[in-house]
Amino acid sequence: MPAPGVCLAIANCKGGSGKSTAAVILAGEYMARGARVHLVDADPRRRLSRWAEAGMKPAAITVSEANANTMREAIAAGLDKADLVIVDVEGSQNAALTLAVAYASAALIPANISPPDVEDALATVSLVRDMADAARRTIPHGILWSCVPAAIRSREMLSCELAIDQALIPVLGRVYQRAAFSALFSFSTVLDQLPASQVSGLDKAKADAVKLTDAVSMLVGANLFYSGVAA
Amino acid sequence: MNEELKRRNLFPALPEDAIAAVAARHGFAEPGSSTPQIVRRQRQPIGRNFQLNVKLRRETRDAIFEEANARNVPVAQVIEEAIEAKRGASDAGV
Repeated sequence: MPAPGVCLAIANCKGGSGKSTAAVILAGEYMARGARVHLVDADPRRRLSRWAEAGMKPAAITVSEANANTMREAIAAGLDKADLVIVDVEGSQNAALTLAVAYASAALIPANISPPDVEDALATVSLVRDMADAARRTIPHGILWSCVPAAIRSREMLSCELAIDQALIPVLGRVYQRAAFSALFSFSTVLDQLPASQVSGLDKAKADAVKLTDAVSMLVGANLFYSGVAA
Repeated sequence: MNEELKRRNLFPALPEDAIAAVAARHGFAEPGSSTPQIVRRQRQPIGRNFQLNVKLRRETRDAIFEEANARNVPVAQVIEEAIEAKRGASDAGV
């Protein structure tokens, strides 16, 4: 039985927190599991649109653009043709972010492990929780640590993780600093289609993607294409 | 795909003014609000295309600025009017 369509808002009012990268990682992994994915690009820099226009994007992933005025229609149109809609918004306190959260069934908040990112992530989570209260429903949400150095565990990172823990925000995963994740945009494709001869560390990146996607599947509460590989 | 479930998951019964209220509480831009446009004064071409940079006595400078500020006119207009007044006085044989 096909899973019901869900809308995942990838939101953080801080720019450069890895929202677009997370969107492409998830789109690629869900596609690998047989899902049709629609990406709504609501960032005026149009990173996802340019990623799609390069022509290397798999056909199972579609992309459309939106702003605060067209957000609702863009999500609805995406759900008409996809199992999952992922909304990528600009990293600022913009109206499109608010609407994406309001219409989403779940929210993923990417953040670098740094105090400014954590501060803005907490502000975004506060918005998500207030929106859920106002709508009298739950909007499951969680943090995704982005650009995590693979070999460094500084005291500052620990204090950032503690701040998120104390705010009772679940951490859905980590996207480590890997060449494969950067290559998603230089090759304009998904992880599974990156050339192994030119991009190193694909297996570790794939493992990160599997974990993250499973965590998101559990977050949206529908076991959406849950692989059962990793918890 | 279950259309009803899909729409129910996506669209909460939350009116846009309620969404805007949440945005406002958290300092986010409110949906539906537009950035106020800066109204610029329409500038007309009036032929003042040359620059004059001069050193003046303090009282002369202050007097020119005082006149310009009091009437909200450009400094150039004050100078032009002073010249006109001088010419008028000359014509009148003062």
